[in-house]
Amino acid sequence: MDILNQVIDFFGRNSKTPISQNTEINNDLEIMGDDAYFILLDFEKQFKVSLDGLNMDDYFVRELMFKYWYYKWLKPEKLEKKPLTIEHMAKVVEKGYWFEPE
Amino acid sequence: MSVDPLTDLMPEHSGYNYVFNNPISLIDPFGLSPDTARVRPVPGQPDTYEPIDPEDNMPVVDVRPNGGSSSSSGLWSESGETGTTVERKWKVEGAYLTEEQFFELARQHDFIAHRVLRQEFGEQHAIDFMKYDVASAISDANDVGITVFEAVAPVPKVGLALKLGGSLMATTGMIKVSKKAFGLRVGLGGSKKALLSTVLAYKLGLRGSLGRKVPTFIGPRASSLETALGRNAIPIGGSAVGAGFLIDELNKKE
Repeated sequence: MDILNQVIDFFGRNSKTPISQNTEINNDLEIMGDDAYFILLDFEKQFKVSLDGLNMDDYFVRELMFKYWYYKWLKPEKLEKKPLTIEHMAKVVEKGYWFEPE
Repeated sequence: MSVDPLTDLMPEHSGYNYVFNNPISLIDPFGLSPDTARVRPVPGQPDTYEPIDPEDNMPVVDVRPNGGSSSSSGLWSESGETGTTVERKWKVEGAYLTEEQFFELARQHDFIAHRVLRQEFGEQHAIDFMKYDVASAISDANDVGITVFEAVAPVPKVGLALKLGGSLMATTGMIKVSKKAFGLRVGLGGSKKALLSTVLAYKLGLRGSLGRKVPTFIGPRASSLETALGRNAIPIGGSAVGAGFLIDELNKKE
């Protein structure tokens, strides 16, 4: 199985809807806060890559606790972040270290 | 025939009926109060009862003052021969108590039946009834896999433990702590804090992919077990506190 499919499997294992290389793991899969942090730790371990240099705040909303529901219903734009696609994560695996998407 | 001496405890039922007019499901071997038929008399052995269901772990209980009998479950042991004075010991949390100690323990926990019976019929009849009552408690305890001691003794402590444990758990779901303080990697830029409940779940080994997204109380659906538990610590802890109050209330009514 090539790297792209392995990365699709990794992020798609919890998703009922089919995902593709263009799926955004932050905005489409609603991964955020502590969930994103622990998933990325798993990602580093499984694919043996280093994500040092990745600023999570650029791509993932922090753990908001109750404020999440306020944003969710009244200010959904606050939950939108710069897209981080499956395809880019596959490229990161190929390179072996984190780099910013073009 | 006489009026059931425990009529006052069951005001919704007539004192002249037998087992609430439900002889298929209930029995009343002592003519006092109905109970579910978990035991039946052993043929040829007066005053001795055995479980109706062979899968039931209920011990054979001998209500004769000095009778010889055997325990099928190892809950108690005795020395001496039939017809002589024997010393029977009850197993409680791995230790053997004498029969007197065991029933004193049960008495401390204030069985209503024992209190009423002691007033109405004297100590011996009360103890005989309690043996039957305790046997039912043991059987119920076995059904849920807890020991006799847990079944009859620390009910107030269970309520208290649930209230305290639940409060603590709910509190951990409202506090953010430094990842570094718990030895978690902070190399990934961004928030250096995480929910205490999530961190504790991770540290306790309750981690990994769930294989599906799980709804959470204070955030979007979670993909990892630690996050699902962490974000749901408030409702889980709150439920435990509620269960603690319920147990305490039921205990007061008994």
